[in-house]
Amino acid sequence: MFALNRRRNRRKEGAGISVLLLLVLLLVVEQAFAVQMAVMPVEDLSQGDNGLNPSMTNRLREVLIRKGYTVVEEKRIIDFMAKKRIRRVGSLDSNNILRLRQELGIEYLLLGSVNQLRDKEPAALGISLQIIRANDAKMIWAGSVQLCRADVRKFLGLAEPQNLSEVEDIVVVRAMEIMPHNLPAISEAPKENFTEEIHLSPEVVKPGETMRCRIRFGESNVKQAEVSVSVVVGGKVIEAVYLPQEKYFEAVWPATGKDRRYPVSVSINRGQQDRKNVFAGSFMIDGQPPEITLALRGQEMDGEVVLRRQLTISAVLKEPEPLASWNISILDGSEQVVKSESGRGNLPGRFSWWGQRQDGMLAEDGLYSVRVEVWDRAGNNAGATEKFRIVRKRPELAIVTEKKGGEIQVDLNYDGKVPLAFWRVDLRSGSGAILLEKNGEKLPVRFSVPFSNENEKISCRIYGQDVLGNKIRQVIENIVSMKPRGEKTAEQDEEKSAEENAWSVDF
Amino acid sequence: MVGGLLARKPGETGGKVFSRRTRDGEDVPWEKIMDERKKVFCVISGVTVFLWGMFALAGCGGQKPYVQEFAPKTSHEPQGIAVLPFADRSGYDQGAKIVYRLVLVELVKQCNWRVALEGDVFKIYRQMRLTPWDVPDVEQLRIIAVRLGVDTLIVGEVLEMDEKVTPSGVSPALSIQVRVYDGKNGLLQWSSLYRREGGDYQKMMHFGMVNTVSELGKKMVQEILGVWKEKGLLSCVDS
Repeated sequence: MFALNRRRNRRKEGAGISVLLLLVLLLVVEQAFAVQMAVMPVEDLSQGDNGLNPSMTNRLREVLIRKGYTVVEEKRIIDFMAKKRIRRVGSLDSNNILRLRQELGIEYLLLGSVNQLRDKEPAALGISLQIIRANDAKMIWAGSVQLCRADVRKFLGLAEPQNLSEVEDIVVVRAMEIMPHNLPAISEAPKENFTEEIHLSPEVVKPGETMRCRIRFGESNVKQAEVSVSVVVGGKVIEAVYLPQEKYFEAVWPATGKDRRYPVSVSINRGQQDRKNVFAGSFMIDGQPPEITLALRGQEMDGEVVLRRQLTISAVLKEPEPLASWNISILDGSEQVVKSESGRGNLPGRFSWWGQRQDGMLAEDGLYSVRVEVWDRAGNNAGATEKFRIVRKRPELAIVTEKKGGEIQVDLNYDGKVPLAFWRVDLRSGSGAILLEKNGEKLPVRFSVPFSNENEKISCRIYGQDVLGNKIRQVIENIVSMKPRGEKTAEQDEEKSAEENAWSVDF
Repeated sequence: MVGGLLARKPGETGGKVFSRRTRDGEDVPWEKIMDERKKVFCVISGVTVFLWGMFALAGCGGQKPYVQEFAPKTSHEPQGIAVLPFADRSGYDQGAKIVYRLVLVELVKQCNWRVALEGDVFKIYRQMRLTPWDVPDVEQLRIIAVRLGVDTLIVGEVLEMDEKVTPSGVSPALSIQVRVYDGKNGLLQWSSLYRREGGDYQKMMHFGMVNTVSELGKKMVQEILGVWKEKGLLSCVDS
């Protein structure tokens, strides 16, 4: 009896283990035959450039797992992206897809992007998805789903999505519905159209300089000994040499010939059946430096451009061409640079200089020159220089008084180099009443006003402006107490210096 | 119903009154015949107005994408198509990228064309030191086509993209220009210009109303590709 029970138990145990083993085997087989898929981080365009949407990435992963795909762990994808320095999400180039296949063993790749995401009412979400076959980097399926809460109107509002999260649920379900259930078979013979990378440099050269063309093959298993690469320039064939350290072919040749553009094509020969000519671009030989003219716009005096407040400098190329860089310098009379600026690319339309030195202080009056230098893309240099003068000194009017009998005689004089545009003088009594007012364009001038005693106070206000716009405003509180013929008292000197400090170049 | 006999108004034929005789031999007076005619006229005009209204509401009379051809038509199966980055003139954040992705999706969806990957296109742009808003010149287009192994290049611009949220709903508007170049010679083949608003697709009440720029963009791209196929500019790949 006992032995019989033991035998039955053993049979039951054996059957249980067999079922368990069968289940494990089925699971292993299913896992082995399940399609390996990588879900790349979903780009979110609503978050600006290179935004990421982890929530949508996780949702897509979960749904694909439920559909029976073997989805590569997110950490492995992130590690791969970090290792290969892939900074952009939402797109991958063919070489990275092939590397992803080699390293993670994936068969398909899901690239997704959130095109539109609106939190505010009515909430809306739009996504687009692409499935890429890993072995030939071909986009085999693509689809997009958009949904706005306002799109879903149901009887009495029943089962309508209430918020963005519910909109997201519907969008993911719809995306999975349109996604193909059976993905196309893996292509055994991947195309290699994308495997060449060709760099032709530089784009513009001086005659005799060296041109280089580098050809790199992607992830294909190209045996370098079986491939011959050559570069064809103007009928000449230049053999490219394989550089094992750099892992690319390189053809080097001197740029000779007339100034013009030369097309370059690359010939890739993998045997009799596989020969390909690829247009690689063109380069230009440029041995002529650009011709530049300078035009200064400002006030003019005696045929010279004068800066009082601002000088406009425009530099123009006689024959316009793209430039690599430029430099503009302002030099003083001793050829010392007082201000300099440089930039890349083409010249700005014009420069404005407000007369400030590099340290921010105003440059002193004197003769200056502006020099503009340009370098074209081949490195040819050209420059132009123009002279100008800075004149900011205010006009100084000399006033001399002399008491004669019962009146004061006033002499107003000007001996500056810059001609006066106008002047005006008014004399006022102590109570502010105007005793005399004179104006004109020419100096010297003499006028007189009566006065009764030494204690009387007569103030004098002088205004003037030269042709460049420099202005003067001078106030003498009492001309009665002034020493005759220009002799000044200590008080007057103090008064003058205070006035000078108060003057401004522009008011 | 009005019979075959021509009814005329009394007095028109010298005062002779015309009428219609029924099978029973009864004469139907002129006024009754006119009443019947009026009823029929009203019914026909009512049905016409209703159908016209439905037609207009359904958007069936709406405009189609404008297509201008610049080269002789050569209907061919493209070996491959590359969509180059769209330029954005609308000021809508990421507007160009939204339309770019929608064009990619519809190209693959509609005709199984081999479309160059966005990553490959941007990689070549980087190599050629082109910014996404640059329109490549003829030579650059040829280089891009050769490197990507495609023979057709699509370049586009988003001219207007807007989404106004109003109390009655959302009113998106989109205007795009899409140009197609031959990759072999870099020459412009044809170009399409299209502008639509969300309300253009409204059928009746809220039905058919488009509430997002992405949905509007999807519909517009589908229509543009549809017109291209209709005109025989692009044909589908059999696979």
